[in-house]
Amino acid sequence: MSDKLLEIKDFSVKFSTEYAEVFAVNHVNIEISSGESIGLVGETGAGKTTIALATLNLLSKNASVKGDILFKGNSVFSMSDKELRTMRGAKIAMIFQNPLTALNPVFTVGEQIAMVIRAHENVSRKEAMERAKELLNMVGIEKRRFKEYPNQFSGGMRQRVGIAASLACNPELLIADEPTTALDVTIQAQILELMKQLQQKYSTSLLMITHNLGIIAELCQKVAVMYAGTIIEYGTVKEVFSNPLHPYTKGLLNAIPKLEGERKRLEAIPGLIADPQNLPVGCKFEPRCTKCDDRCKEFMPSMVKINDNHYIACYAVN
Amino acid sequence: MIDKKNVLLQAKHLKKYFKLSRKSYLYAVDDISFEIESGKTLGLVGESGCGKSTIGNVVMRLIPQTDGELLYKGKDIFKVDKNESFELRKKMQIIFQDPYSSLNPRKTILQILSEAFVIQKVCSRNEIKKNVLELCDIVQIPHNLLNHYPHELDGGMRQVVGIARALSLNPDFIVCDEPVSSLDVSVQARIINLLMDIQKKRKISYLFISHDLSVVRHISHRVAVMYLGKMVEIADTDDIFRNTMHPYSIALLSAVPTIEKFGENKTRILLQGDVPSPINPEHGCRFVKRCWMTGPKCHTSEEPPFKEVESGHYVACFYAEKARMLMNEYTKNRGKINND
Repeated sequence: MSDKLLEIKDFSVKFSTEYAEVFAVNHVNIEISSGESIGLVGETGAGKTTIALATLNLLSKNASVKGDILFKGNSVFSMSDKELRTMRGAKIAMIFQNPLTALNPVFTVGEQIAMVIRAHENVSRKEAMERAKELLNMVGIEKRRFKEYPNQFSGGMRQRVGIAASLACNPELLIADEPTTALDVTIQAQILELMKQLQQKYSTSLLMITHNLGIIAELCQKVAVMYAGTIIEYGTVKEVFSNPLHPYTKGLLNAIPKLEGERKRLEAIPGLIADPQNLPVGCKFEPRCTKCDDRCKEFMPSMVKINDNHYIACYAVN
Repeated sequence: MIDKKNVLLQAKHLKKYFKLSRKSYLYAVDDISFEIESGKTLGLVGESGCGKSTIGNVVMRLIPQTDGELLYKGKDIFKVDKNESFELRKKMQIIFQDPYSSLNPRKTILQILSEAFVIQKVCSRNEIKKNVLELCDIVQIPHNLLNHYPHELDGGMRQVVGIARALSLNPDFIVCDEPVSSLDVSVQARIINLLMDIQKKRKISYLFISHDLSVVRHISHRVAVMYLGKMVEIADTDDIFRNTMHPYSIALLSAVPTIEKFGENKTRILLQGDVPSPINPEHGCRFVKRCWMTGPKCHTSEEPPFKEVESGHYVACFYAEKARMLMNEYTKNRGKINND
């Protein structure tokens, strides 16, 4: 067995509806080793969340899957329901974007966390409750609040509860799907700091999904930039952000206003994000790209190694 | 610095309290004053619930003010009669945050953009279409979209329609209430460029409300920071970002994750807890409970005065100088990190 914790191999997802077929994810490859944190960044509809859900085999029934996702060498798609149940929450845990809908409104936060523990481990109710209190304490919520309901917490506090619940069984991989998008920036800073600390403490692997490049820069070692269901650039955060090569990554970085330095006119990326029902045959970014040629129209460029820390899928850069 | 001769809009001690019950009030906007020069942008930043949007709504007279004055070209627009008020609406417009709910789903884009001309009767029926087409050229809406309905457009294009609608009557002043926060970055850049180009061409003033500090820095000439219904700091953009003085502004600025610095060494001021409730807040400084550098004066019921610390730079903090000193140290440290 390899030391890879999660391997996503040539993975594609297609959703079929009555009217159309939607190509949400196309030939994606990602590997996560233990203790590693990887950021998945892209705009709306890039397929980020679909990958997260697929990792837990939680895709809806109209999704058809090609390729494979291996967790510790076992395909998540060939697991039985029982195996999936033991994996979800205990080995791979997820933090959701909206902490209010992710929590059950009719149970106290303490009960909800204890429930996670009881689902996976053979412990008494009392013991589970004790551990829930410890977990809440760890994420910075006073123990006395464990009997309160989610609606009594603020957004930031709810997300802390979500984090506590996801860490309840010491998962090996944590998937965070836009965990701070619904939060204010000072609260976001608190949550990111907390995640950073916990990740270092427990050396959990992290798959961070976000559209905010700044969050990736703060929290991750590696970054994969997604566009229209494909990964177009991949590498260490330092390498990709300081030396972006793909026209889309460059465009994205130039489109963001900066907090420091000179205020230059923003460079908008022309055109619209590719329609996943009607993707271009060749490079998915080709219709919006300024550097493309005929080859880009016909063939999808494959990932090319620039150096050990940097991979890119583009014909124009070589 | 504000050029007093060039002021288009001036708010004086603006207040908006929402009555919740006999004894409790929500102090959404509490004694706010600011000036906007013509052709310039005032950025308004703060976290959710600090009263940014309420200011926008009060300025647009969408909700009545509790107290205060709002001078447009020297005239208090809270006191004008109905006819004048109707005329003034041509001059002041608003772009809303959510381009999905701010366009009538049962009207085509042409109808939406014609509405202002029809209501204000600025031109004859025949000219309306011509004016709408001109409008579309300015903001680059393809003419073939005019017969479509809002749901057929993507978020960015809808926001462009929202901008076109605000521009239709040639206003002097537009409130932009989080116009780009629901958009992806590549679309966001296009909208920001569009707003800035229009400002240059038509000398329109903006009140730009946003929670995104980098967007505000990019578009604004002057920036005001709000916390819990109060303005805590206002200064010219470069000044406020380089020479931040209020402890809250400093913390807010340090909390933004950026791609310019690669994590690890970045000093960050983490605020404890959440923004407290604006319902019946205690007297004195509203930020004191989360502040990272309080002094003896802070815990009294005395409210820190909003005073001019440097020319054009107003801060509501007893210890602004000390906060700035700490901030400078912090910037120096960051500078060191850069050199390494």
